Amino acid sequence: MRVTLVLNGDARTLDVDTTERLCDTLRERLDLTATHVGCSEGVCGACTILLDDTPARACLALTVQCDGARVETLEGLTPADALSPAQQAFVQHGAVQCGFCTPGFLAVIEGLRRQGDAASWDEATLRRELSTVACRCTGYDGIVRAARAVLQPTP
Amino acid sequence: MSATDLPPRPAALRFVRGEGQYVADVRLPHMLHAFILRSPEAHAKLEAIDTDEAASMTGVRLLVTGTEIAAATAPQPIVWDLPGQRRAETRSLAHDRVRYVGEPVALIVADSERIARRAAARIRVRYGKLPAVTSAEAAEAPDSPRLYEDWPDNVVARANWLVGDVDAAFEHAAFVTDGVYISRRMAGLPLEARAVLAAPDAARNGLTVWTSTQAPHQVRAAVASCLRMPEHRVRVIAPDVGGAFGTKSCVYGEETLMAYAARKLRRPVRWIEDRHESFTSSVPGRDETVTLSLAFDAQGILLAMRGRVLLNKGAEPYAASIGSAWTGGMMLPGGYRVPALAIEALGVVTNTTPTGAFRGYGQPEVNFAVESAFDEAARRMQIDPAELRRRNLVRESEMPFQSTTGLVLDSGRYHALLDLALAKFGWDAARERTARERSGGTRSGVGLAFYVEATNMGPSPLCGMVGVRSGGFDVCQVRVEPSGQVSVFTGQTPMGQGVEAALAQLCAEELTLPIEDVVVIHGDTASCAYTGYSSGGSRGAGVGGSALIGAARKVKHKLLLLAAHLLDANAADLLLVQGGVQHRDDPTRRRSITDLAQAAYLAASLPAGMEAGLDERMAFDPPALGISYGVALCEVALCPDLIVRVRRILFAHDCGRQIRPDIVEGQIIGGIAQGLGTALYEQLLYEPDGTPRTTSLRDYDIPFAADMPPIELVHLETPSPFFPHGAKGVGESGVIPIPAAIANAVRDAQSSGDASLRLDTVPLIAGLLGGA
Ligand code: FES
Ligand code: FES
Repeated sequence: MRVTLVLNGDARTLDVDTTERLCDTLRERLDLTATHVGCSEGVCGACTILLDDTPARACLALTVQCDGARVETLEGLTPADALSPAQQAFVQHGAVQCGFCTPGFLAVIEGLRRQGDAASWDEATLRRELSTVACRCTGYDGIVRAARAVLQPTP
Repeated sequence: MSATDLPPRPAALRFVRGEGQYVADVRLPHMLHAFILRSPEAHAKLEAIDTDEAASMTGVRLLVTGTEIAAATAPQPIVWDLPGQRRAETRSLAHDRVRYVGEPVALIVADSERIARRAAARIRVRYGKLPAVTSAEAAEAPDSPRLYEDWPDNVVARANWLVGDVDAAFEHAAFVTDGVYISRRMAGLPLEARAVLAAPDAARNGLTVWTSTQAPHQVRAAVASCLRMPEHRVRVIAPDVGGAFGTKSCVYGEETLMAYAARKLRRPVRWIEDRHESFTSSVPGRDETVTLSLAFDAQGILLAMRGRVLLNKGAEPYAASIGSAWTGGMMLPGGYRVPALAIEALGVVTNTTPTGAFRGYGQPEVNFAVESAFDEAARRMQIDPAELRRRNLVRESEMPFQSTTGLVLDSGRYHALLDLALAKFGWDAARERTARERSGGTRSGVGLAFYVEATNMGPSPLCGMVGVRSGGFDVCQVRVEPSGQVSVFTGQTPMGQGVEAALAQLCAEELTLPIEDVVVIHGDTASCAYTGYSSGGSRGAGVGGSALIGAARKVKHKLLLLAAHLLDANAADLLLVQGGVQHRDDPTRRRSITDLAQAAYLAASLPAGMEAGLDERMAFDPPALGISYGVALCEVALCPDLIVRVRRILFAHDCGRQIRPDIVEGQIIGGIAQGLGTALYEQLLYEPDGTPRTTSLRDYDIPFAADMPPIELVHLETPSPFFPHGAKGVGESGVIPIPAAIANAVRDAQSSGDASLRLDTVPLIAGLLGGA
């Protein structure tokens, strides 16, 4: 089946099987390997991308369902020769160990940033909102610190 | 130095851009895809396999069963071989019998993974069911079903420690505790599951294998030996590893299988473990029952210990054997003076997935037992649990201290750290406050656990003595390139912890270069020197770092000699400062490292006898283990439904010198998260017939951001005398004391009389749900 995705800003028309998952289209067909697959069952969030500005699980979405949608992966959220503020915060606050969960968290944080109401959240709310992605390495403190630096900047 | 002032980890800079390269990201031309058909039976005879229909499907390139593998390959190697250990000729595919659900039965290689899966569904296997046994206790019974007919029972191996007159000590004791403490089976669950890609390598008439592993040289040895190839024809690459935690420290049959298929097909073949599969195909950890009795005198001084560590080894004795039980046995005395002891450690086979390493490796299991028992003793003596520890901990003045099982406690200030932690936590005030809360009807409480962690795994003689078939040294090569920057080749394999950044920093410090001038190369048997044991046992910075320092100092020595020659000076009058060698009295008489490197490689004017180039290596074998230690304190509240809410944790520890405090912090907090999972809810369960009940991340709870309590860290740095940088390991510290500290706090919360939650088993949720 023919689908058109607006992928990281560019319209891409692809011929895909109706059962093909978005994560496989991205990774296997288009070689966009920043999107990781940790469980294939919607639990770990490593595959999180932005679908029309909203974080979504690329392992649960079928590519044909995304026809006409804007899909953004970490490749698209990465400036050519610098780091985004969120990426910088991740490096600085010890939010990265093995890096496998990192793309998922960056997508979630970018979604929250665009949605724009995180500025007033307390610690518990922020942690709850970040609890859609699993990290097995860091224990989360660094990730929460980085998210706070991005979403609740102190002037 | 706070975390934000440290130079960024180069790997982190790649990872945040999505530029990590894990095995599943490696693409090769003409790559084929593998799927492994696994046994649905826990114990059965393999009576017949019909692969005809599957093999004839379009797109299927290769179909292999156990009969072929048994003939064409040698058994998987044994890494830990204790005296008297029983053998099994385990191969990468089962033949004649399956012994656990998930055991590989057939390999299918096809043009796509989808075709391979479809083909697998058309393979018909006839299983002749046999009775299964899943628990270690049941497998020990004389009438238990037996897994290996040529063994007299199900015991893989055992080890004993017997010191002093234990019976007399128990007879004269004022207080005795007796308990059975169970740590259930759990998954290491690195977020990146395992993955293997093997490709023919025409240039070496051999193979290259990419695998998500902690031990590339061990994989090379295994693939070579199983395929009966010489080791120099096999190259193993561990690219970025998406977490490991011990799960990836052993060699696996899938590495042999992909290598076999790639060689046979002359094409690259890859296998990506899926998450469901990982619950039965990757080694889980824990699954130990510790039976422990302590004898104290009237003053609360420990007189003797009787302990038994029983490991459920799962279906196969290979890989790390009963290593975690052995380690548990050796670590039972912990940081305490124990005049007499009788300890037995053993492992038995059962019809479950073979167990292997998981962060802590036997230490959290025995810590849970010992620290629970200490609390019970303190309650019986009606003294503060911290005071009972204080009376029995080894004193600073006694270090290095040889513990009763032979372990050398190298250095540490146990009492000082304990007191510091109690003060920072506000222990006395918290005890009073929670007691008040309890009289008001809120079940809250505090608990603590002291731990030691055996790190800097090594001493080759120790490895040899206990049957580990791998040297305990690490090799590092430091090569100053002609342009003056440095390539470091390490035997260590980063798996997310950042050891490469610590090594870069040590190298930059030794050679007085900016850290940007150092690149660390790792995880490739073709470029990095042989290191048998690689990354595991919390040895990366300690042992790998010591090897690096040794090699860098040789480079430094050569720089000084060369500069002396070029400056026409005496080497003793020269200093290495800020990237150059200069005369101590006249800094204008100076040659930069770049100048010296060029001179070394041009080799036109070298001192007599000096070799050209600037490239040194060192094999460092640790003289002893480094024993890190610390104490975890926590406060909990018990909800009406018995769910444990951890209000806060204070973690005080000492891992010697901290090379990168940010990495240390990351290891501790990440370890605490896994400790929390161990303590509260992570468990892999089996039905009595051997059917796994946990095969999905939906059924296996791990902590998410909202599940973590506030954590406060307290650091003390007592350098180890046995390592040039004074650093010990810290990879497992975080996980070790958390189960005991939480269980002790819950016991305190229940001390007003209502003991509704059983506390002899972690995860504690087990006491809530009951049953196996
Ligand atoms: S891979 Fe999609 S949620 Fe885990
Ligand atoms: S950094 Fe490894 S899973 Fe998060």
